[in-house]
Amino acid sequence: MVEPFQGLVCQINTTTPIFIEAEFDCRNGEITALLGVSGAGKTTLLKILAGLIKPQQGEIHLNQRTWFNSQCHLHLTPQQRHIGYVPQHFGLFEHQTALENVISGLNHLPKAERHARANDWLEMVGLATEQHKRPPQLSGGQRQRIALARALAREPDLLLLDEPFSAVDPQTRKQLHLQLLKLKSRIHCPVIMVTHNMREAQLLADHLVLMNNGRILQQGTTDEVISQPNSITAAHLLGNQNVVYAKVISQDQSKQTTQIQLGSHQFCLPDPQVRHIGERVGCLLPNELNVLSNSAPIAITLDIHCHYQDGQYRQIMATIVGDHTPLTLHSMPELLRKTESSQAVWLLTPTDITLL
Amino acid sequence: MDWQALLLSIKLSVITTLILTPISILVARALAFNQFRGKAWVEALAMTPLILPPTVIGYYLLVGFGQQSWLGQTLQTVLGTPIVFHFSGLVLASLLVNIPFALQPIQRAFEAIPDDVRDAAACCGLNRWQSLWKVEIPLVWPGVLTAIVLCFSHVLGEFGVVLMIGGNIAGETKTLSIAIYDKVQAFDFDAAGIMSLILLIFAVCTLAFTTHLTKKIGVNRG
Repeated sequence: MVEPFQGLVCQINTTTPIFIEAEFDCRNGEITALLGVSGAGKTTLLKILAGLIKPQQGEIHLNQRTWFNSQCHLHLTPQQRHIGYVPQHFGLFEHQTALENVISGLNHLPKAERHARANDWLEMVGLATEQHKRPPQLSGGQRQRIALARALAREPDLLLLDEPFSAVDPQTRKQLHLQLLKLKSRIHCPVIMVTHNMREAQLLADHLVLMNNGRILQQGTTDEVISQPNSITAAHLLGNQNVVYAKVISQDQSKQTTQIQLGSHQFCLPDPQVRHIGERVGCLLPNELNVLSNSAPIAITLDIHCHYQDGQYRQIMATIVGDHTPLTLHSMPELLRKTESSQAVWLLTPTDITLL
Repeated sequence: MDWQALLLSIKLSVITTLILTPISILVARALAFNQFRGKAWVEALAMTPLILPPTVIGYYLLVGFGQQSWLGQTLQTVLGTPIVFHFSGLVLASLLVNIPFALQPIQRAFEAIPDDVRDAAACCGLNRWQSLWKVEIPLVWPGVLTAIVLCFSHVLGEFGVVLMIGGNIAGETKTLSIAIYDKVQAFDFDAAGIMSLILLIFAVCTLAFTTHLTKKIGVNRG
C-alpha cells in the first residue's frame, strides 16, 4: 500500500493581488526555496500559503488536511493553519520583551507551559541572556533569531520564511545560516523559504522552485536545478551570466549528441533533445576560466578585453572568437599571467557546457 | 469664579472623551486597514468639523435635533427629555465636533503599524481582538493618548456649538467658555481672567504631560 504524501501540496492560480500560477509540493522536514527576482510573486505565494491572502482558484493541502479549496469555498485563516511565519522584517512586537514575543506565539499551549517553552527556544537560538530586552535594544541578527524562535516554538505544521536573512550583514547572515542548519534536525514540518540569493538557497534548501512573473520556471532538487537550468531565464536567475547562442550543425540521435557551431568553433555535445539543423540554441557556459585543464577535448579561443582583481579572483571580460556576446569569467590570479596577451584558450569538457 | 461651569465643562469633557475614544479606536482601525469604495468620502466627512464654522454645525444640530424635527421628537420620546438646551445635547454636539480630533491621531498610528507585525500576529494564532488588544493598542498608545488630550482640551474650550445647541442654562448647559463670555459681557474681568487662567494652565499642563508621556513611551521602546 502506498503511504499518503506527508507534507505540503500547493496548486493555485490567481490574478489578484498579482498573477500567480504555482504547483509544487514539499515534504515534511525538507526546505524548499522559492527563488526569483523582486516582483516574481514569491512573497505573495508565501502569504497565500499562510492564509493571509486568498487566491481565486486551486487547492492547498497539508498532511492530507485541506487548507484551501476554491471549489468547496474552503479557506482556513492563518490562525486555523497553525503555521510559523518569519516575515522579511521579522514582525516582532516592539513593546514586548524577547521572551514575551516568543510567548505570544504559544497561545495553543496551556499558560503554565508557555514560559518554559519560550525559554527553551531562546536558549536554543543563543538568546537566553537577552530575554528581557525589547527588539529595538537588540541587533538585526538577534531580532532575526527571536523571530525564528517565535516561529519554531509553536511547533508549526508549516514554517514560512520570507527572505529571513536579507536584513542582516553578511557576517551575521553566515552565522544565521549555520544556526538554521543546526536547527534543521528539530524541524519536522515542511519549510518554505523565500530568497533571491542563490547561494543561500544552495546552502539551505533541499528543493528549489524558480519563479518569474508569477509563474514557476523550473523546480526540482537544488543540485538538479542549479546544474541543469532549463531556460535562459532560469540560468540568469541562478546567477549564470554566460549564456551564448550557437547554431545546430548536425545531430546524431542514436548517440544523443549534437554538433554545434559557437563563434568560429565547432564541437559535439551530449544532448537528449531533438533539434533542427540550423536552429539557434542557448549554451550555458561555466563562470570559471580554467586555462590549465589538460585532457579537455573542447578548446575555445577567447578575446580578452579586460581583467581586474575582485577579492581573491581576477574578473575577466571576454568574448568568444567569432561571437560578440560578452562573457564574465573569473580565474585564480596565477592563471592570469598566462593570459597577458589579448587572447586565451579556454579548455572545457562537453559536460561543462549545457544546451538550453 | 464660576465653579459650577468649571465642573460642568470637566464633566462634558470626560463623558465625550470616554465615549469617543473606544469608538474612534475601532473606526480608525477599520479605516487604516481596509480599502473600500467611498473610503475617501467617509474620511472627508469625518474631517468636516475641522473646517466648518462651529456655529454652522450648531445650527444644523439645533435644526436636526430640535423639537420641530422628526429626529428630535423621536429622541425626546425615547429619552424622555429634549436634546436641545439640555446636557445630552451638549454631549451629542461635542461628540460630533470632536470626531476629527479623536480619529486622526489614532488612524495615523494604526497606519504606522507595519504589515509584517499584523501578519506575524495573525500567524501567531492571535485573533482580531487579541491582535488589537495585545499588539496593536500598545503600539498605537501614543496616538490614543494624543487623541484623548486633544479631545478633552477641545471640549473644555468649545464655545460656538455649545452655545448654539445648549444655550446658556446655569448648571445644565453653561460651560466654562460660556461663563467667561458671560463675565466679559457683564464687565466682570476679574472673574473672566481667573477662569481664562485656569483654562490656560490646564492646556499647558496637559500638553506638557502628553509630550512627556509620548517621549517616555518612545524611550522605553527604543
